[in-house]
Amino acid sequence: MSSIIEIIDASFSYDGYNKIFEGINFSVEKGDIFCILGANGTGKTTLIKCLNRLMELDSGKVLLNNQDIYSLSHSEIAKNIGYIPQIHNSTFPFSVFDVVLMGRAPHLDLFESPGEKDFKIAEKSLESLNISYLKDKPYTEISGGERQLVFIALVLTQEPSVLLLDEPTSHLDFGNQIRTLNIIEKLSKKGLSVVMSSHFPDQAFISANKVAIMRDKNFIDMGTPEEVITEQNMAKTYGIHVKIVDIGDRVACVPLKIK
Amino acid sequence: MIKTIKLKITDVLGNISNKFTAHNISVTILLIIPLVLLFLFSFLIGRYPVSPLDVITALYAKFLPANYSISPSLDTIIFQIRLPRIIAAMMVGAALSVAGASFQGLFRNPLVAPDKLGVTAGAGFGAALAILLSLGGLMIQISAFIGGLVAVTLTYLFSKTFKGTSMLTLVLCGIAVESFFAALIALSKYVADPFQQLPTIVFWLMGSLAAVTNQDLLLMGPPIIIGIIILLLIRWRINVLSMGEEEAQSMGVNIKSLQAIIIVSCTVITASAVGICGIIGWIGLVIPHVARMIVGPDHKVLLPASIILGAFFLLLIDDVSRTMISVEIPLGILTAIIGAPFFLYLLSKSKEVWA
Repeated sequence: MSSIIEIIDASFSYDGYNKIFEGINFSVEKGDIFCILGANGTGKTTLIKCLNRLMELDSGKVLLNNQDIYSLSHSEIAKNIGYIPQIHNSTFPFSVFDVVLMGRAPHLDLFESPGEKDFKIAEKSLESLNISYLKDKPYTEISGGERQLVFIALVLTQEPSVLLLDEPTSHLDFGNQIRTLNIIEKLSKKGLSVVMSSHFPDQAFISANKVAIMRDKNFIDMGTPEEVITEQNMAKTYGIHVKIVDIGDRVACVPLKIK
Repeated sequence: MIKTIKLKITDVLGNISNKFTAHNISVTILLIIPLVLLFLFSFLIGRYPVSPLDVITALYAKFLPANYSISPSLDTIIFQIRLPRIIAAMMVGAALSVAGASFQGLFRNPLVAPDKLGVTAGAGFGAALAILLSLGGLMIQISAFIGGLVAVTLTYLFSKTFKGTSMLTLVLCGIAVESFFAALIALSKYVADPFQQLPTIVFWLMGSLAAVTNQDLLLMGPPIIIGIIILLLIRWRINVLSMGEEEAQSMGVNIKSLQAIIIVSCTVITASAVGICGIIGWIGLVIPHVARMIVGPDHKVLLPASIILGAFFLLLIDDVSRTMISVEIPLGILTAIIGAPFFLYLLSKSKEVWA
């Protein structure tokens, strides 16, 4: 199967000297959920932002459907890649519907405003996440979990083939974390490819089919969750001991107390 | 014939209302009615008595084919004195408001006014310099316009020299440039001839539409109108931009060029407005707020509403300045005296909390 998004020998630095990461390679195929794990400050967010050109690599390539993304415009990238930031606030109290409608931006010309067709697409995205009831509420007055869903609806309105999620569960309560993972899984079943970063190795067992661990400017391991999330790797990455246990319907990664 | 025109108009209106939410478009249309009434009423105000019938027949005779004419003195009063002033008031009010609304969206900050990047101070110094050099009225306007553009260009160039140019660096550079030009204005006042030039500078800085002529409108009108049209064309994208730079870029917006379009348009608009009538504060800050309270934050509706409300507000203020006492009160004073308490009142009434 050909890859949707591929990153080849990528390196990045903010100042030109201190590399955040170098020599990174991976590829994501249709329907994949690729989860990047790693301690705070290892560059997971930076790596994700390089995939849709929010940040530019020092060297290396990002291929989107075998096309170099540096040869594409921002709107061409946005038609294919949707990005959901860690946390988002708006200054102005736009209605949820107006916010979701913004996802049509890459499909419209500079002077164009969304029309009937765009309204329908936005409504469909809201329906697909079962949040049509939020439509007229001010985006600034809904809960963090709802705002996350609204942003996912916005990104679905872009009609992308790849979703980038930067720690999608970090600011959510226990239930919403699992519900978000469930939504991500459903979207991947519909054919979207997902690249996400996470602080919870256990969540990779729940949703991902590919996992990489980022450490010391590179991936120290990459493969299926079962191959990568091991007691040794977790100790190396986070400096804590975990137990990988079979809990019936899945394998879980449970942290142990520090002695 | 008339029927087809009517059909076309209902067609167009139907199309427009489809694009807006029904509520907001009707509110925007409702806002036009008081503006039209005030427009007609403003012809009646002044020392020379003009009746409503005079105004209607004069406008009718001028703009529609009619076989009767009006008296030359009435023609002069209406078309040489009052009309340019009314048009100028509406245009400047609309200009400052739409620039304010756009800047507030661009900087994601509802407390930003169009003078944030130094355009007003620069234009003020340009005018003061022209007065110091004893240049004529037209040169004062042009010098003010150029001063405004120079100030914003300087702000931009300074912000370029810093690493990671963000909107915040731009605003900080704007503050520095603004106070630099404010100091130059103060210096111009200090060295000005206290009997001739100083009063001229002071009055000019306080803002007035008393001396507006048709020629001024022909000079400064086109840049204002072009700027407003450009902002109206891109107004939906201001929504996207106001979600944050990174977010907007991930939604496919070319943020650098969109920011540049907004800054250039607002700067040209504001510099031209200051060129026509001097410095008038408050409108660019207050009117977008009022408009937001009426039609909501969606820039697609907010910008047209700001234009109408801004035109209405400054026309009203100018009417008051013409009639309240026997001498004209400078507009800058009135907008603040009326605008500030009104703004506080609205804030106390509004549900929105700017945390």
